[in-house]
Amino acid sequence: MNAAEPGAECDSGLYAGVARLTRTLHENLRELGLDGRLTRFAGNDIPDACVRLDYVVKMTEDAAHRTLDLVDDGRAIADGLADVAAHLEKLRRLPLASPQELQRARQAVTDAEARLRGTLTALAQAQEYQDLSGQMIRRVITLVRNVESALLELLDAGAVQSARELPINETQAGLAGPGMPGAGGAADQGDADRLLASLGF
Amino acid sequence: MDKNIRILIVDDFSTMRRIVKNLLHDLGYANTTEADDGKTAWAALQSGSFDLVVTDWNMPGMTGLDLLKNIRSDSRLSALKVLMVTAEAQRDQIIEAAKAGVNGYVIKPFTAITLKEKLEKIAQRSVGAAA
Repeated sequence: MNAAEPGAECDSGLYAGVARLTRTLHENLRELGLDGRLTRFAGNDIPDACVRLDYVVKMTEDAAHRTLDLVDDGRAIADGLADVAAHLEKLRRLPLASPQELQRARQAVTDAEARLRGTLTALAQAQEYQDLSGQMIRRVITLVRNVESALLELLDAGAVQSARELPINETQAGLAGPGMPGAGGAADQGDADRLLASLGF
Repeated sequence: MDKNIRILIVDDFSTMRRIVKNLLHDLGYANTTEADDGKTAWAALQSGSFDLVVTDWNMPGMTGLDLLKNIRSDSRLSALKVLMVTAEAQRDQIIEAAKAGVNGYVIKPFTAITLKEKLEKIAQRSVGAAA
């Protein structure tokens, strides 16, 4: 570009302005320690959080299956007790029930009781995932809060000056997913039933 | 409803399939088959004769809503009863499912009583429609 052309001075002024802004931004980031923090978030903390959340999904799924297995065991015990009851009813109708038969029935009930207690203890133990997954989720919440405050500092440092004034649109990507009780827009079963009834269902 | 009806349970979470299956068994419906998304459900529907589909909405592959739409647009399957059991609880979504021809809508988390009520309602309506 010819230095004598009109606008050249304006261009060089613009470049100088951009360079100055970039320098200021970098200085601000360094002063705030933001560059190091953001690098750590992106390179380490966020991938680590994803691994932890995947583990939480697996842990809760395993615990749910363990619980359902134990519920199946409980059903089998209940079925066994129903069989004992039916057997006792048969014995009751006999003119003379044999003491051995009654003793066997009593033993069956005692065995079922022991098995049921064991199942209940195992059911209680299967809930320990809540403590572990709760701790992991809390760590991720802390990370999300730290990323939030770093991003706000980044905005304050002038990196994206107008962004805070922009309306933040709700993302419309995909489905809304599970709602929170009482949170805006989500229906409960009663709302859904009324809505469907109003549509002729 | 006839307790021998064939029911297809569709959910990408194996635990939820198990819970629905257990509840249905408790209600006396023992003839159940499972599918882990709309695509596998669609394949199962092509090869077997089912009377009721109990499906989640949000699944990879094919969603429950797309499965419902496919069922309604297929002449051999269009009369199939579909009960949606889903965490999707936005008003617009419920209306969308209704427009697509859902027969019942249960919001997760749900109770055994809700499931029972919806099944009974579907049965009453099918009797009413047949009468």
